[in-house]
Amino acid sequence: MSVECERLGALLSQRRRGELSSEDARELDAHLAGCARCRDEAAGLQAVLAAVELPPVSIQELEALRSRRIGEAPPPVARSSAWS
Amino acid sequence: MTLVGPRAPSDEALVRAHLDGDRAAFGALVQRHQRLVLALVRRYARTPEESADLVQQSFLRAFTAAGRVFPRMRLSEEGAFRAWLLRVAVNVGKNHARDGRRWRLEPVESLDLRAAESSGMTERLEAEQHRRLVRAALDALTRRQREVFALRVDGELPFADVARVLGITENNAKVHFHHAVRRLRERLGGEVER
Repeated sequence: MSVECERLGALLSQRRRGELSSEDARELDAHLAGCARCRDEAAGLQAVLAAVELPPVSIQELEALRSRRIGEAPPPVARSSAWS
Repeated sequence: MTLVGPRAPSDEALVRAHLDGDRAAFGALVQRHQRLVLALVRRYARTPEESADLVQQSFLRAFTAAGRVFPRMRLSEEGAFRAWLLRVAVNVGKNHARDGRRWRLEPVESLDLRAAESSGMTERLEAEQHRRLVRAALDALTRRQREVFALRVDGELPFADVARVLGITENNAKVHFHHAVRRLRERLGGEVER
């Protein structure tokens, strides 16, 4: 698998999230047009990501997190001075 | 305390401050990382409250081990704390799923499907069934594949970051991701072709 092919997974998942720059998108499409193996990989990856992707974090989740006030209760820590 | 910008203290400086008794330092670390930790654990939770529980557990577990782990950690190395916290979070999520296997495997078929259909619950049942299949497929990955997949897909980290968190090479992270995707595709079968 070439270096170009290896970058594909990252670029495809970025595209799904609308994070791909137009320059990267052009590069990705040009590569896919000429690489059958990557087209197949891409189809598989897209299908898997579509199946496993979670919905965006909801307001309810953020509120539950906020109301927990996790940062306000630091756990006790055994002191040690052995820093590197 | 400023948490962003060039003058923001590093995670490692905040860990040192926390261990020196600065109570605000822990809060600053939580504020900085809780969204990413939430992204990593929420797949394994049924409710927003359970997600928040898992985030809390991740921070507490990471810091409870502080006396043992942090001194050995190379805190001079940027990203050491974040890598530790994210590894803990991935495992907290996974362990929660494992501990909850009993309820997760309760068959959907045991529910009254006719009643469900008439009250418009079919879609919800299908979604729940799908969620279980995905979880089972993720459970079947090797530990390393699951870690890479969770950090990349749920955490949305670039491969370079995934590699840094797990202490592996970037190429190795890509290979694990590639195998994870292939395995998920096989396990999920028709689910991924919908």
